[in-house]
Amino acid sequence: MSSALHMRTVRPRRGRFSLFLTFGWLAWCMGSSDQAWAHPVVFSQGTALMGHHQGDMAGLEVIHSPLWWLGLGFAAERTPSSTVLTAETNVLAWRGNFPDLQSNFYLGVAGGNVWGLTHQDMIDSAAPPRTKSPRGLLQWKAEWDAEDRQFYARTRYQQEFQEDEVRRDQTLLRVGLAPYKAAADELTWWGMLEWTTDRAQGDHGPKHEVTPLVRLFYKNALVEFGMSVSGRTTFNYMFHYF
Amino acid sequence: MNFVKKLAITLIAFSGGWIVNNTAFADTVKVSVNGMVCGFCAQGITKKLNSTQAVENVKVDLENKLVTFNTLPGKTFDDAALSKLITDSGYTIVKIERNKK
Repeated sequence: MSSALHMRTVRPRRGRFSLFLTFGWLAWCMGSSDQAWAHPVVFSQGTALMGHHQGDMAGLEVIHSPLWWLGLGFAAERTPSSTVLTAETNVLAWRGNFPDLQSNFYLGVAGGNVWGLTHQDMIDSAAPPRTKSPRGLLQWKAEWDAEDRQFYARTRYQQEFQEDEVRRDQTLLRVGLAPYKAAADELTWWGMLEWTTDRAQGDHGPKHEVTPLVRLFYKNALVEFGMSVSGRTTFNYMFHYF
Repeated sequence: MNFVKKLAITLIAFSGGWIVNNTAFADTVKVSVNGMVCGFCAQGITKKLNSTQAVENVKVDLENKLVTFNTLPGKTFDDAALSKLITDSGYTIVKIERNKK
């Protein structure tokens, strides 16, 4: 009797863990992190698995929140020319809970290594690659979002420093609109518009990208996909586990 | 025979009282919460409440900003514990209403 009960309680956990590993493996195979593309802090004792794919860049990220205002995690990002692995700490520095609106301000830092071509290698492709050994990397970001059940806005500024390399920064702005107010257990979909600008030392100017996206949201799962005006595809997903 | 009847009646009366006393602790609780705007919020609060193993039938109504649940018979889940749980989940409690079953 006790073993039967034991099996009942253990099997779903193994199933969930297997699912978690499977999604992680699939995401890595699809490409392989830009810091959290959404929700860098989960709920207390919650874990989020997030993936993002933009053109030939793919990233995977796992964040666990031991406290409701703290998110600790790992991220991996792969492009054809480099691989980045980072450990990150995110803090929900402020949250505004209003009757029909939630707003958050996050701060985050991440540190790790990058393997592959340097930014200079990419600019000067005729020259032999300077290094392929791992280089240290440090990122920080500040992020604000606000959403009710029909409107969404998010902005983020992120800076990245690589050892013996250039400084890069990215500014992101995203707005969204849902056609209806969904109940907690209903499928929600959103239309979103994202604008990013990337700058790196040595570049002639910032690179702008505008991407319309569709977001589908059901219970603890969220997926979104879109294509930028320059033709870059985007596919993001996020699962929350508790 | 009379003794058996009296004993049976006494036992039924006591057991009935015991059941009534235990269900008397089962409350229907309505909590007004600020900051709930999406399915992730609802999932987070539902999971946190269920993890206490003191409640059942947790429902989140985003439209009316309400979380409703029943406390399990024989379990206590007072306002202080409830406030801490919702606050630790990242939300703000506005009001707690309890109705005895």
